[in-house]
Amino acid sequence: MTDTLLPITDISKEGRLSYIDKYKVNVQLTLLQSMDSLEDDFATNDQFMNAFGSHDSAVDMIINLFLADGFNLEKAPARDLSLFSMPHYWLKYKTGGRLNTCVSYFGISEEVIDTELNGDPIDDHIEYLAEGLREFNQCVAPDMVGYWLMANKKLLNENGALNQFNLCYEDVEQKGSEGKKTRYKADACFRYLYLFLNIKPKLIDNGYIDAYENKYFVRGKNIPQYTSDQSEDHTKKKNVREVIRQIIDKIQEVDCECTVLQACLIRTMARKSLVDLYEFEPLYKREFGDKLKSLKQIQTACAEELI
Amino acid sequence: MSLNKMTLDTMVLGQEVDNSAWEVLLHDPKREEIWQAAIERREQINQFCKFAATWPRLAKSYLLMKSMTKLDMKAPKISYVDFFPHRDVLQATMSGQPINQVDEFILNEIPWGSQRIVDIKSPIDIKFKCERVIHIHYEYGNEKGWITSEDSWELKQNEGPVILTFIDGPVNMDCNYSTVIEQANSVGGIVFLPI
Repeated sequence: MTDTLLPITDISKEGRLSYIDKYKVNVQLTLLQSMDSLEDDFATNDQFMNAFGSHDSAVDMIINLFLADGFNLEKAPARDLSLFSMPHYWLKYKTGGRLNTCVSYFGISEEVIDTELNGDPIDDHIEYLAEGLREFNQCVAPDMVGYWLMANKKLLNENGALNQFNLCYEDVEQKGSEGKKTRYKADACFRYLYLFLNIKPKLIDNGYIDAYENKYFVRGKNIPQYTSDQSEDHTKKKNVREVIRQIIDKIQEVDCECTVLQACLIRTMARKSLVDLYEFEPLYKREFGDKLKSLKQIQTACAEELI
Repeated sequence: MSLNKMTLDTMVLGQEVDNSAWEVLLHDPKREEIWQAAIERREQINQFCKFAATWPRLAKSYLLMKSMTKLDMKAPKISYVDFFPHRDVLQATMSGQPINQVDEFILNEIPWGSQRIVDIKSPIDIKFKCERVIHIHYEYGNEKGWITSEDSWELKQNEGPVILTFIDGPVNMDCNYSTVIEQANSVGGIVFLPI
């Protein structure tokens, strides 16, 4: 895709001038379309409009920012036409990152929001999950985040402290395209847990932990299997699977000392079908399928301690 | 409270935002729909980027059409279908999918009041399904003209993108494109983009 997106090869001021000279219309169109697509209908305090004015003036101002002496393309998120499809980047750049918040709250003052977000201790689990999700999102395709949101719907809808297991889960693993959805949800939950429980330091290094992370925690195309675009030979595949088996074992070890929140996340992840998704060898399929199944019982131990 | 579209786009791109933005998303009962809509917006922006990089003149026409799309309550339901569905039926049969799922897959609704960019990976013939005959304006290469929903269209990779503007309402062929759109009850559009 990069080749078709008019790469910016010369990042010097002269190079940027010549880029705009050659592709000004393409840049203008891309900016106009992205601003139009990302404009909110009822924004009462639109930071973008405050900084750039109308779309037409924004196009001129952004091109001027791109051509300015101090603009450093090395720090920019893209080096082709797609850089002009990110109006939020230019807003952040123009305001020197001094945006008070990236969030637009319609008709509600930021003071009220602070109280809502930070002053209510009963929603602590959302704060932890959000922190985890921020990290997760940086290294997986956006659909994976969507699957995670779907999988954890009940947990996220839960108000108040998670002091008991009153969350009801769908235990049936479905067939067909619904079955695939179930697997991707479990995959998203599994990867999220790897980060959330900080499993990496607990693993015995077989030399393929980096390969595992490069496959599952580097953003690739937003299409199944949601892994990075890299080739792997038989040995690498086999050893990456061994890392996955270790992770399942380590999650099992967390079992007895886990918090209620961790237990909820583990239980949502625990799907036997993961062994198919990760293409486990027949030798391990049953063993690890059973281990995953047993992780569903994690709720009992914790719940009994808490009640 | 809700997240604005720019913040959501930053998140979909995997760029850094405050934790508070993620908390707002998680607190929103419609979080899944919001996230999915943000992904689709980004995909359409990426598509447009490819479009504008190679065919800026047509991309400009698309933006003009986009600014004029509209929706009337009485707009007829219209969709396009792959003229040669047997390929999908064959694939479906081989993969054990029921055939009715294939029908759903190939029936693509035309978005009245909005517009969409659709990738074309190989040459296809499409035909339209509509409860009444409507006019369709086409533009590709240096060609422009009119067809109706009773015609079919052969999409070829080497002809570049094709912009189809669907118009519900009386069409006076003596008027220019902009006037026709202004006078229409509903307007929707699709760009077929070869990749």
